[in-house]
Amino acid sequence: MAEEELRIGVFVCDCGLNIAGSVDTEEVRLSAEKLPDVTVSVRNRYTCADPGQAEIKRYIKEYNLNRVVVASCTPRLHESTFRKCVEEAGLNPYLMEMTSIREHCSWVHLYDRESATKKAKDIVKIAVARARLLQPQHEMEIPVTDAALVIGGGVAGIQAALDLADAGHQVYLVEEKPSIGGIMAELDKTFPTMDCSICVLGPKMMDVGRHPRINLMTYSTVESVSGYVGNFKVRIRRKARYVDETVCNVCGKCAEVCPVVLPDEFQQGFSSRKAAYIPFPQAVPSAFLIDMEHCLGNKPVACAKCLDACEKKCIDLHEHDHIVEVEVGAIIVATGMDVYDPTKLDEYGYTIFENVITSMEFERLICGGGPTEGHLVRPSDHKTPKRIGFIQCVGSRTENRGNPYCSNVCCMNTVKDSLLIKEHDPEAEIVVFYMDIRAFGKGFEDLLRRSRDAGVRYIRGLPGEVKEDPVTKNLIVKVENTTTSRVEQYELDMVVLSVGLEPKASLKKLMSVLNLSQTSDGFLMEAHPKLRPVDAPTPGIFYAGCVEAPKDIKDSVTQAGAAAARSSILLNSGVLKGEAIKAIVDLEKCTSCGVCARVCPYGAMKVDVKAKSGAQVVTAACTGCGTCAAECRFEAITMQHFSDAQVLAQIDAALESEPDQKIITFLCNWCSYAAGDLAGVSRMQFPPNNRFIRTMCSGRVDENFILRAFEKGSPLVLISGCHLGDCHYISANHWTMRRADKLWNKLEKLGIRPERLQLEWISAAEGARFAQIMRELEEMRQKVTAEEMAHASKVLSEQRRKAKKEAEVEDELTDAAKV
Amino acid sequence: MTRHKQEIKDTRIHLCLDCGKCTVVCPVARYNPDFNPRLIVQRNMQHGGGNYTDEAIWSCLNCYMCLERCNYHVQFPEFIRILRTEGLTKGSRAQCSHGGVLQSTMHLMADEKVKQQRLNWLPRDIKLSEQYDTLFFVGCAPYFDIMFKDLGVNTLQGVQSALRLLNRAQITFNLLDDELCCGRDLLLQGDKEGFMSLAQANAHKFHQLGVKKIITSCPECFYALKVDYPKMLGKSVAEVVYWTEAVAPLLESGNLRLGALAKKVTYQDPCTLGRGLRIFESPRKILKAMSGLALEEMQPNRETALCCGASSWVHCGAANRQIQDERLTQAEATGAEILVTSCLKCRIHLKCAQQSRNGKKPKIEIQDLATVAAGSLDEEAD
Amino acid sequence: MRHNNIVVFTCNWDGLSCVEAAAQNRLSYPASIKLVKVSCLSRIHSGLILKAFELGADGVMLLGCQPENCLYEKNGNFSSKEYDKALGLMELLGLGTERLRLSRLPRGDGDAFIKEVEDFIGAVSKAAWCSTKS
Repeated sequence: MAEEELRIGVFVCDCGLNIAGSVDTEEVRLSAEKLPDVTVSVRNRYTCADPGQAEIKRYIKEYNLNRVVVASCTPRLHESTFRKCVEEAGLNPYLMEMTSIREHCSWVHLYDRESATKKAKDIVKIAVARARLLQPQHEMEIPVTDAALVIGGGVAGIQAALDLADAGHQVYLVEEKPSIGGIMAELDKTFPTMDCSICVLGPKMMDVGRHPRINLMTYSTVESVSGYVGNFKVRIRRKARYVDETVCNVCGKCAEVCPVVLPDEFQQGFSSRKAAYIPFPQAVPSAFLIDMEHCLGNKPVACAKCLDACEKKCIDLHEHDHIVEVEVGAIIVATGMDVYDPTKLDEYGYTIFENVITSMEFERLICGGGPTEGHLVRPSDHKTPKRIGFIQCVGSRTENRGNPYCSNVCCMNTVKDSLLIKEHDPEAEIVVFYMDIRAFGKGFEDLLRRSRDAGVRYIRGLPGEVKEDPVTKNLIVKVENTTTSRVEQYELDMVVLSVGLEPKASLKKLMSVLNLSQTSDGFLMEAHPKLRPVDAPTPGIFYAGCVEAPKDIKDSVTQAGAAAARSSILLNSGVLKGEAIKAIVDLEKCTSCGVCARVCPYGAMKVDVKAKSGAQVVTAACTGCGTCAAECRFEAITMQHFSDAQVLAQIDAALESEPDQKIITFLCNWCSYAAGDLAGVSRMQFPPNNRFIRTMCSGRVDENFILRAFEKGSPLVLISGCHLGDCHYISANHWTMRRADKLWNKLEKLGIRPERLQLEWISAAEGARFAQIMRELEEMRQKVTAEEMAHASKVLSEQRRKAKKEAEVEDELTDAAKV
Repeated sequence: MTRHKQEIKDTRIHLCLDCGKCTVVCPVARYNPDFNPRLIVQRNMQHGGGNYTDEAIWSCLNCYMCLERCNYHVQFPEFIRILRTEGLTKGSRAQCSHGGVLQSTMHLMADEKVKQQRLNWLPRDIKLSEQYDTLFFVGCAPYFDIMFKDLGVNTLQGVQSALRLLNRAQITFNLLDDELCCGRDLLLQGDKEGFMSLAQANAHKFHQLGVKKIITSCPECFYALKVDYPKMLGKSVAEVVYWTEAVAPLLESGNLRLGALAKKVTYQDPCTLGRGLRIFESPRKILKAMSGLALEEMQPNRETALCCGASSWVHCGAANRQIQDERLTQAEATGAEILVTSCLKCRIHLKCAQQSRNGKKPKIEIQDLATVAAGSLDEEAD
Repeated sequence: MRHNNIVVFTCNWDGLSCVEAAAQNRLSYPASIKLVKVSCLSRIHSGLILKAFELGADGVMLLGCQPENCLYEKNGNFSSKEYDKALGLMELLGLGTERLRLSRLPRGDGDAFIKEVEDFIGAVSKAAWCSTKS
């Protein structure tokens, strides 16, 4: 890079009286003028307004400025404004440094003009120090592949695929079962409308099968995903069906002759299927398949009866799995959920007492397409049960075998089931044992009212035990009716356990393939629970349906539409521009140790530890948190636009004069700096001794920054970031915490009091707490003695000198070796 | 928050979902219509505190069955204990069984000037260590022996047998000649002061003698030393081990062998040892190590075993008797000849119940686990 | 020399008659004797005896009829079980069995009563332990 002459323009804003009221902006302007490399220093009344911006552009042109410093309000408000402004004047937008002398100075030090002005001068000096080292950056344009992958063919996946395809995008829909449809296909009716489930889903399934832009891959799984938003490369394994689905005409002759009989999972094991089978009549694709795991064998072919029976000759017993690779720009995860298995709840006797069944098993028994063609019979003697009980919250809302959350759908599902039974048999005696009935949605309360009106009894209390009469196989349920406070016994013909929903057992594998994380309930974590409910934290990945949390069909469909819309925005954009804060690896220094790959929350670092080929940055996936740079022990990683040199320059500038008065505070952009902004907006007051340095993430804060601060004479340093679990960069602040731990030990060994390094997690909403912490820091600062600061300075500068010398020697040796 | 409010909060009763599962599984509620754990919680939760005036609180058996089934593991027995403690300071108290003689004995023991003569039962052949780093805590077996001799419960025999087995297993230990009652009964009744004077004195002795490890054969003492002492005294006392946990591994590794016992046997899980401290298998391992022994489990057993029907020498009434009758019926239904248990209180209460079952004759022997195991060794020697 | 707190459980009939006879004959006994009247000594169980010691008694005397004279025809078969139990517990506790005395006296024998009391107090004062509650 050619050494050009630095011509920095400093623009100090009055902001009316917001800044000028408590800070002497003229003095600030004058002091800035005296700084080296500052060509011109200007004062504006309202820099962000048109006249102010016009002035900046004028000065850039007139004075041939090649760096701009704007000292005004918080960059979180107007950074993009001023970047655009300087860009219009012909300067690279990344050559503009903006710093706050309002939220972080004039508004929080209203009553001490002298100190506020002194601090403002320092703030400008720090900004100028960074500006000197800014380099032009180019925002990467990533082309977006106009195609989407939908993983999961339940109602959510189906809806998302249809919406995307109708919007004009190519969709790959991957479903692990042989047919799409998911759990909704297994239900009889849906609440609150009492629609036949497969009847409303069937047409949608057909649409998917027919859609010219949907490439439907059933009996398939996603094996691996590489790449990044806009450019995912997906490897899909298509399992062998052994039947050509495009030719099969579902005549069923293969199944007729197949000798292998198995429990039919679609019918919850109540009836059987053959190894050659179709999952259910309305399956899409409409084709049979061979369950090779249970077939008598194809190596060599043991039976081949199906082969002989097939008129269309579409069976190939030697088919292989094959791998398909596709390229997509967006991925929607809609893999659904599992149902809780209540076998462990010995008090309810599931799998021990024949007539205790789950709600899913009930669906099949009452469904016209079920094993008994909709005649509700009970398992032990196939008689029609007259007295039926439902036990709610099985496996939900508990820390005692099960899951602590509420599964959302079970209450309404039971209400619906009670009405289904009453339809079949108005004289049936139905009792529902519950803790709370959650009928919160549209039409739900009405359905509940209908159920009560039909004579279904709702008993508030959960049974403590279910016993079986050995002769009749009736169940004796013992429950405390908490309304009457009496323990009651009910003899019932059948008991239905209203089981909850759980994350799929196979979710962990999917998570590792897509680099996703879980919330505490085990479902997938959204980017923000309120404002970005269908986005995964990883850019380009979206959620639909129960994979994100238990929900009913309406909410799944709604979420699917939202995910499709957001994917569509991404896919329609054609190109993506990412902020130019990216990691760059110096391959000469890199030892391929793999630490950066381990700490990156986005999997944006790829390191082959064995091949020692150096770390590769997946630039499009890199979000600029800086954790890799801070963790790298070999200083092989530079963060563009937030380099070590820039931060160190800021520290040096801050502590150039009267260092003992200054607390260096590292604030993360998304939470702590925002908290500071909020403190300012709320006019909270605190002592003016802190000098802040903004990084994108607390993970960026390198050990060297802190040691430099102590070396240059700072009494106290604060690292501050988002609360654990809330980090904008998912998990980067965990590494901050570990680094702080290590650093405390190191400081102690060097004879520096570890309490001089403070670590606080402050959220963007905690303005008051930010101010309080600043006050506490000032109290702590006053207790740091001159001897302590002198000792730290001495020890650390010696250490740095030694390290520098060692590095020099090593360089010489390497050079010598080269000769 | 006051200490009392914090104690109540720590029992998690505020998380009670009011579902009533506890009432269904509670053995006392089964026979006493006035006892309803869920209602006791609902009635006695107050803003930040508890209401001790509820009469029902004195009937709880501390059997932990409610805890076993509760969705949030609400510590109902602990809640009861806190209410009882509050109640005692304000004048309400439990009705002590056996005329209060055991409570008086425990209080007298705490008197500094009392010098017990408590090791006269110790057989000559039991080897004691010279040091005190491992202590065997005997408990109140010598007192129960006097109290319940006429029931045919030889509590001291159980202790002697356990000591013999430990000797055989070459586990060294010493005994205290001025050991005080662990105090658990007083603690459960709400007499925290009584408990503290015993506990502090015991802990002081352990500390002075340098006790590092304590082995005991009484499940209640085990619980008191392992859980209550650290909690109430604020510091750990020693490593506390139940004797079956020390002996069973040696049986598995073959370092200790038992003799034969060709009988059909069933095992009573004591509430405090089982549900309280999750020790279910080591006593069974000891039984199965005797050749010829057929173990037939009662229904229910282990986590859902039924309590022996009495607790800390208070409030023994009709409901307790009915619970004991139910358990004895379950024992007899196994067809076993002997009901074995390692809790001397289970033995006392079940034997007492056997003798007052409306004319039903005792059909099953009730014996101590250590006695049965040690007995098999003597058979071998013959 | 401390006062010895002696609790005397006396039956309402023959036992009390001895006490009353002593009073009528103006015979004196120490004021630290506390009388507790019961209908019959069979009412006394080990709990009551131990409770007396818990509350501060140095000695407990059970004053009653001679077996053949019992009004309730208990014939002295009153729970010697309880009496033996109490003795056993007291021995274990180290209180000393000399602190519990069963005195069966003829009806109205005041002199015998005084002699018993003095003898008992003597035995108790020589016994090793004394209560902290005095």
